[in-house]
Amino acid sequence: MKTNDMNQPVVHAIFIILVALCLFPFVLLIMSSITEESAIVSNGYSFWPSEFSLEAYSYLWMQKAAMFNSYGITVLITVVGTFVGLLISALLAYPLSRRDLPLRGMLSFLVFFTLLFNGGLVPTYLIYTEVFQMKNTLMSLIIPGLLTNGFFILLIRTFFANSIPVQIIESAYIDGASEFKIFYRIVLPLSLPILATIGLMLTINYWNDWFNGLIYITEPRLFSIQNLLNRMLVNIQFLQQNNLGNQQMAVNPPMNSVRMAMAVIGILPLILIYPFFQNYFVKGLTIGAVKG
Amino acid sequence: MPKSIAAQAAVSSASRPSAWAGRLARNRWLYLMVLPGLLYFLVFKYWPMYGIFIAFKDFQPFLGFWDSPFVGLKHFERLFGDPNFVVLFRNTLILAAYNILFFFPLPIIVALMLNELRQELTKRVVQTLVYIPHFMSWVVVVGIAYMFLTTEGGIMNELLARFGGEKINFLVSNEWFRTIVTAEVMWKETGWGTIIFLAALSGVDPQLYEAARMDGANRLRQLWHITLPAIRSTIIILLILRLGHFLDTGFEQIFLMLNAMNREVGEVFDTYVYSVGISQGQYSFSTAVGLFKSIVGLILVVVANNLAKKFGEEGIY
Repeated sequence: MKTNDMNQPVVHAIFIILVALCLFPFVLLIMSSITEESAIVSNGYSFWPSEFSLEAYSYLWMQKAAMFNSYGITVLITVVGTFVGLLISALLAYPLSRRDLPLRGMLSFLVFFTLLFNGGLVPTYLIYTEVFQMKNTLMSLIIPGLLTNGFFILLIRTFFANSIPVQIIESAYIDGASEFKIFYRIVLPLSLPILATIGLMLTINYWNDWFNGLIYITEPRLFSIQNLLNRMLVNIQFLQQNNLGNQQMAVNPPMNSVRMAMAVIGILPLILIYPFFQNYFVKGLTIGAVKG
Repeated sequence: MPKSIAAQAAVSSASRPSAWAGRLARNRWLYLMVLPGLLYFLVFKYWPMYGIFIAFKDFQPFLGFWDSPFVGLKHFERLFGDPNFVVLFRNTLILAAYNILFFFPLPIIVALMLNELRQELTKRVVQTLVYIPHFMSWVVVVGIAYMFLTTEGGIMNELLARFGGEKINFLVSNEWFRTIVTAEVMWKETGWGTIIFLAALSGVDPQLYEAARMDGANRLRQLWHITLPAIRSTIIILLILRLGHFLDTGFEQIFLMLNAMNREVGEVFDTYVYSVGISQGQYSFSTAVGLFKSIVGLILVVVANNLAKKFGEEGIY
């Protein structure tokens, strides 16, 4: 064991640098959001601002109608999308993990082929808008590209196949349990690690998505928090022109810090729920990991 | 082996159709479970594939998919004859090559180093922290990059100025575009990318290391003979899948980084399809561009997978 411990200081030093690299930009973001606007203009962005101010947050608070609306949209699509996505993924993955199921090969191929080939952006957009009439609907924020994908199914299927003993399922079957009962009384409780892992991935994808909003949404009342943020980051004038819908605002907003404050507000909920998922994390992928 | 079993099954099921039907009926609840997910894939993934054929038509929304005039390979001829095509192809390839060269190995290296950490607690804390950048959307990452790179108070430019250098307008510069894009990906995804390798590593039996030490193998030899073989198939599978998406450059990020000044090096297939297709409404032409990209991806996957199999690896199918 002695030789093992000799390289520990080196490895530790590398990781201290690595973690610092990961966190510094995040710290800078928070610091900029509480910097007095004039300090940013004269001294630039800084890890320790010369003047602190909560002006940016109070500005956002004044826009609370639009803010809460966007927050509501984001929370709604995240909760619904994660729940439905997880449900249909698990339901699909379980039969595919049963080696005795006829047509299993063909069904698996149908699912995994979508990893290799897809309709592409424009045909997908046209079918979704022309045939399914999804433009400016909540459905367009939930369904395109996010609900589930072949890779998730592959991970869950492998977990089911490797970590749930066939004997348990068989004995439950002999005892007269129905397939659905076996699924939700035995399979799901034994699979919390992979469900938490995929659940977290779905949550992150939904929370951070702005692509669907970009192409399917033109009405501001359906903007998710990321779409609102994108408008602000891309178009500095957006704030002044629109005042997020509050026309009475006469003062110029503290734009630089407001953008950063908005970004902080956009990230915070994810960072806060993360520890609850974290326990299951590596465990979930251990058994679900792709092995061919 | 599996083939012969499948063949036998086929033979026996063909000779006894009632048994086959019986097996289907017995599993009806399992098929019911498959149904919602299968419908999702058929309706929302396969149906759009049917829309691809407008690449061979002049699609006009008021005529619909079926009645728009058929034009054969017109859009492909236009694409291959367009001087932009070479630029697009070059930009996409270079960005993809940067990604595979500089980003792809990083999560593997970090995972291997995490594997060297002996205290569980340290390992957990480090893991928790390096995942955090992945939680930021591209909108936020690009906003953070702005704070570092802008000439109006950006950290990098302030540092340059302090040490007597010239300010560089990174965000509108052709020379820096690829470096910045790759660096952003490295920052956002390296930590998260370790997960799948750590998962593969945690499956390694600790007794293997024990035995290797008994036989006098030093750490390097342990790494070479135990650790790397354990994650080799994971690396290969991810590489094959990555090749399938070789021409996908991450639309969200590139789109946000793109501006009038760096378009010459920054415009890639994904952003081009978006601006020509969705913004300008040239549906058929942009579908042809997208189809070309998808087919290249599919060919790359098939070639890579066959190569992997030739070298005795499992491959993805």
